[in-house]
Amino acid sequence: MKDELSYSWILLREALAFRSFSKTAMKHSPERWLWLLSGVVWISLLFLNWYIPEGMHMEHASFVNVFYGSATSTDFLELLLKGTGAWMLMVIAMMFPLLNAQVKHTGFSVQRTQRTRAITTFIIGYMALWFVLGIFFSLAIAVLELLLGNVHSLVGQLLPAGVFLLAAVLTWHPKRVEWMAACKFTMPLHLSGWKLHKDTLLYGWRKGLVCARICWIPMMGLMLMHHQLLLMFMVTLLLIYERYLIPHESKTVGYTWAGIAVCLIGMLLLSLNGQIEGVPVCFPIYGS
Amino acid sequence: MRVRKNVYELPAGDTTLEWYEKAVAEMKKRPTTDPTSWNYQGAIHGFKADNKYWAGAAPLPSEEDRKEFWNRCQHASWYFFSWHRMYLAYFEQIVASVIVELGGPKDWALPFWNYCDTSHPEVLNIPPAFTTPAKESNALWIEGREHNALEKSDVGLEAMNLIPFVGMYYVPQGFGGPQTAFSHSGSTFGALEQKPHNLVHLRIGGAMGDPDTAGLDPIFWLHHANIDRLWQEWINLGNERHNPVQESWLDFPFVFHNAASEPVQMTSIEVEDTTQVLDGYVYEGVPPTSGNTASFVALKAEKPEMPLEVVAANNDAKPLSGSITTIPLKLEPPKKLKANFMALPAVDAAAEVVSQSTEEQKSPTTYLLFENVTGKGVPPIYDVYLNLDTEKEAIDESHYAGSIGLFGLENASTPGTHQDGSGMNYALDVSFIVNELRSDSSWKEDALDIHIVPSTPLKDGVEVNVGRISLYSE
Repeated sequence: MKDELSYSWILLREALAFRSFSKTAMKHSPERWLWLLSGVVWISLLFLNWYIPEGMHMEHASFVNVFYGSATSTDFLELLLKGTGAWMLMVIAMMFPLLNAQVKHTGFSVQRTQRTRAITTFIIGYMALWFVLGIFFSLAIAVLELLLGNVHSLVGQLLPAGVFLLAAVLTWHPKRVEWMAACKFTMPLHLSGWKLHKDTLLYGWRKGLVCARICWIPMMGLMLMHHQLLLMFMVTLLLIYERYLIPHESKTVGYTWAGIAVCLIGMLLLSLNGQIEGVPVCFPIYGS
Repeated sequence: MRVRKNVYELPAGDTTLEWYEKAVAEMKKRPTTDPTSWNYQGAIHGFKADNKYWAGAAPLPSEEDRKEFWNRCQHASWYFFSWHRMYLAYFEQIVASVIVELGGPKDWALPFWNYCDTSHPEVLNIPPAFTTPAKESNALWIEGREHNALEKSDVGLEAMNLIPFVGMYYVPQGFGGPQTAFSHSGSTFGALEQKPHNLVHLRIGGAMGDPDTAGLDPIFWLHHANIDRLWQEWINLGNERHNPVQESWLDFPFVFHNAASEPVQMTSIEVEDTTQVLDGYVYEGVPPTSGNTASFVALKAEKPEMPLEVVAANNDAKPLSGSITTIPLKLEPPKKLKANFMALPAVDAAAEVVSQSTEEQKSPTTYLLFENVTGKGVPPIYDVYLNLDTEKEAIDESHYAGSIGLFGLENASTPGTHQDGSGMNYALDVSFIVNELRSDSSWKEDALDIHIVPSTPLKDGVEVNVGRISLYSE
């Protein structure tokens, strides 16, 4: 553990030392555009959080409201789309920095004149997968809310902690090390024409699947937490740490997911006792 | 200080190989659970329970022990040289300790097999002590080797011309391998690892042809001693050649067992100077580097060079068969590109001379890249030719572009703990041959035919698929 920490500190220092956004550096490392984009989204989210009262705290689309007549199906759809929009922003902010290998592979597998287009198509394929997942999760949360109802609101509030606990448990899944290794997979791409775009779209989609296989649980946890910014930031750092700075076999991140779950439960208990206020809850309709 | 000697230049009456054979025989008697046993040492490099060479290895060490110490070899990585240096050093310490136990000399050192010495063609043969007698009673012999002699084309030292240790993304290659994390079975090789390292493994074949069994062949250790020596020779060539200076290379810890069976840890910075590795060693006739090479290099930002530009690619490569496979590459019209290999000035024919100057080495380069090569089993070496006249029966050797040695192909193609299963990327520097062929009357400016010829027939169960073949140039 001590070795792991000291070595990841070395890697981090080197990564920071070599970060540069000069013209030459961007040509060498097209993945830095994605880091830049991610940074812009983070700044936007901070802005939203500070200057807009509700910030990123989106209501989830609710079947309950529709069934009890307090909202129309149009309201439901609107909330669903807003929620998915927030989800997509979260994906850009959190997932783009994890795409170094694929963006580099895409960029250098094609001619310079095709580079931007190829990377863009790759990103579209990647985002398409997360969009589908976002819709699915939103609907799943709406169904869960319907199932849990008012009586079980405490169970509902425990859900995010449960999801992070699940993320922790799955760190010990025997296949997880293999899934982590797959994060850097590459595939052959055509050089130009529609076949290039077909390949890069497919590559993006497949990379999305590989990412989602590992990251869907904490991402869903964050969705349940209404994209709570501080937690999002912590989870992003953890994902980057896991992806680039420690060996695949490491269980450090698993312990951290468990730590987050314990903190959420602790905060919930304190909030129920009235000792703290403003704890984000899963279903705000019933929670507060 | 141990002195590692050329196995082909051992003086008459020298007992180095005799004692090596006795020690190997003794280590083979030890149970696999013993870190100083032959099996355990081989499994550090690679182990696969269902491989025939591992039959009879049970009982095995605990699963935790195997996870920590076995399947550790570093390939297609910038750790390739340093990890193998550590591996050899502890192996040498163990063998030397066994030799002392058996009543042998205290200064035994691992010899090296310098198959690159083109002035003595006999050195292409595996040293006779390893092949004769070819029976179990000879501990230096192992069943299943396919060739007892290398081809001259396997052992060229063009890689020594390369200055950077770490290459660009895919191409141009570096001498030592790409910057990676722990890489038991990586995808993109450094130049010396490709040739001669990979080609020697695959030419000998049998246990040597697979990273999961290579350490079981006693010749493996002499082959790697030579690779280790070439790393030192490369540093000694100067001209700004140096090892990586990043702490992530210098300080990455690897674990082994020493002669007392105690777990030990070592980093690359500890093995840069061979005289400081354990008891210290030197190669006969090769001056060691004193201190680590990082200290020689001012820590300034190196001038960034642009990665090469892809100018042609073919994704429709069929699986490579046991006979000749021809793949056409259609080159994009030059007007669409800022750079094209057609625009290259001719490369100096002297570019293959090892001791060339830095300026000459900056000649424009063209690479053929075999991408996402996947497969099963131990593949043969494939020889690559450009623009052959297919109507002629005999292959025109003047069109030879290089050989492909896919050492560890199955591991790289199988998703696992350390690899994503995308396969291998294999680069051939074809600058010289392209410039040669341009003077040929059959040369076409917009097309290039790639011919891939297996050096031996494909064995049952062996499959090789190439994801894409591309041409990169400045």
